[in-house]
Amino acid sequence: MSGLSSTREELTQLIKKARQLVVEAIVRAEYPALQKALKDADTMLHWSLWQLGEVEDLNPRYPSKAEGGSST
Amino acid sequence: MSRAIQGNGYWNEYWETLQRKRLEEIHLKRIRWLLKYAYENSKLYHRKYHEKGIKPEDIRTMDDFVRKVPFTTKDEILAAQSEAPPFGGAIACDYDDVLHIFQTSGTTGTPLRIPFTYYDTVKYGEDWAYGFWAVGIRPSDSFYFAFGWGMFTGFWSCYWGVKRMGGKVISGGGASTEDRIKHMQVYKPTVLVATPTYAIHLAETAKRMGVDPKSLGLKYFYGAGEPGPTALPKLREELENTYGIKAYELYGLGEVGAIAPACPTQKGTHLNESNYHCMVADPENGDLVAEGERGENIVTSFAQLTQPVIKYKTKDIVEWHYSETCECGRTWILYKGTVLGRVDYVAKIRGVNVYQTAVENLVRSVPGSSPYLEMHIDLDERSMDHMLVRVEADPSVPKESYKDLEQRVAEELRANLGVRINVEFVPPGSLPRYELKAKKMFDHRPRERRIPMAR
Repeated sequence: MSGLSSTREELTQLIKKARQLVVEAIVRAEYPALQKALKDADTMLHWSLWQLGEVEDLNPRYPSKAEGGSST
Repeated sequence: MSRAIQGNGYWNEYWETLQRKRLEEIHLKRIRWLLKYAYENSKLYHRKYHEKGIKPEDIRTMDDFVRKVPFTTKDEILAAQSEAPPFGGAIACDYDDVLHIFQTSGTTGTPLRIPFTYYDTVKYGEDWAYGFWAVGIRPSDSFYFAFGWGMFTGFWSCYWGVKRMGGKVISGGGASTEDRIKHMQVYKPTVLVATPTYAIHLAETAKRMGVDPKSLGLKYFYGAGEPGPTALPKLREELENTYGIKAYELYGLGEVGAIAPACPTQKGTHLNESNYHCMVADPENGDLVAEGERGENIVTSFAQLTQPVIKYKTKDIVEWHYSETCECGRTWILYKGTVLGRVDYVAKIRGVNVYQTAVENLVRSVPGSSPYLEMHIDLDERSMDHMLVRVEADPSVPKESYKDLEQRVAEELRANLGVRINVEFVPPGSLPRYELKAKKMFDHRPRERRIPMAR
């Protein structure tokens, strides 16, 4: 594999790691303002993976408002 | 960071130059995910596939998708919406998660309602960013929106695109055409966002106000909504010469997305294959047509997940190319000339399919014609399709010359299309002006006489 592929792989892993941290923060966030900001952050990280062709699910999945979550 | 990731003339070089084999692998994965999602979340698709005896897991190959999965029509989505308005069984997410709602004008019947979540608007906007970057527009540019906003999707998605890429937004919403010229004189935007015919109308208004359109300082026209600069070379020439700009277009459908951003070669537009899959079918029988042939564009969106569109019959006539990399370097499907006409408005005259853009190009090639024209399709006394083209004469043409012009245009059409089309020239200002899509095609035939798949 070329160095280029390795860079892509590293970047993908870094973004996935960032998503894990953000999702962990979403669970801990109590205020709607904070939850929404963090979900937006996760949406953008999901979008970053899409840009790399690396997403399996086309949507990040959160509890809907009806399930007690806030809007994505 | 490597050049491949950072991009160089590409918004996302990885996607835009991805080889066909890899694109097809990713498409299949996304199609399978989408089918499962739609089956589980949308009553419309659950019922539709259940009735056909299809389960998402049955679709394992692209051939399965082509052969087993039925087309989806606008009428089906409308029917699903009408069961429990506003969205009924067409929606596939919790209604509370919807961020933005649009609807079509409903000029041909009931308005189609179009919901988007926040994430859908991000993906929709991104389609525009690809085209901006491809033609040289950058975050340092400023965009003037000659657009009234409202319930029509129109250039809302372009606004989302500017937010995605970066750039300044100057809104001409609610302003008169004269005020829009004044705005541009003050703010000096570099990109004009409008429908092509409205951009021509803006330029004419500027001239009447004593303003040279070139003095506005624009660098680009980036339009959508009707056949534009890639389908109509004369229109492109007129836009580019009048404003001193480069003119590009995007191909989009409100209920699907801004599916094909501009190709920098101005030959057409490229399907954004990160967000969409397409196939092209014969509008008469639904059989797929080969590369390079013309047919109805059938689109599947990976980006519109609020109200999914899977194998959606767009009614747009396109000519598609995909096996050779475009001169611009993109591997994405090229729609040569973008949209060539609508399935609804194809007139079959003596066995020849006559498309809107073919007629428009030929009319405009005769000096003395203006960009304002209407095409009326009807049945003649023998119950055969025939077409009348009404064209506004250029203001420089004396009325005595109209008959001569009519003959010259009719001869140009006959020589190139091989069919007789009636032509009538009318004085300047006779035909209506439109801020959004200009209505140029009028079909007076009974519904049962139109092409079967367009009914």
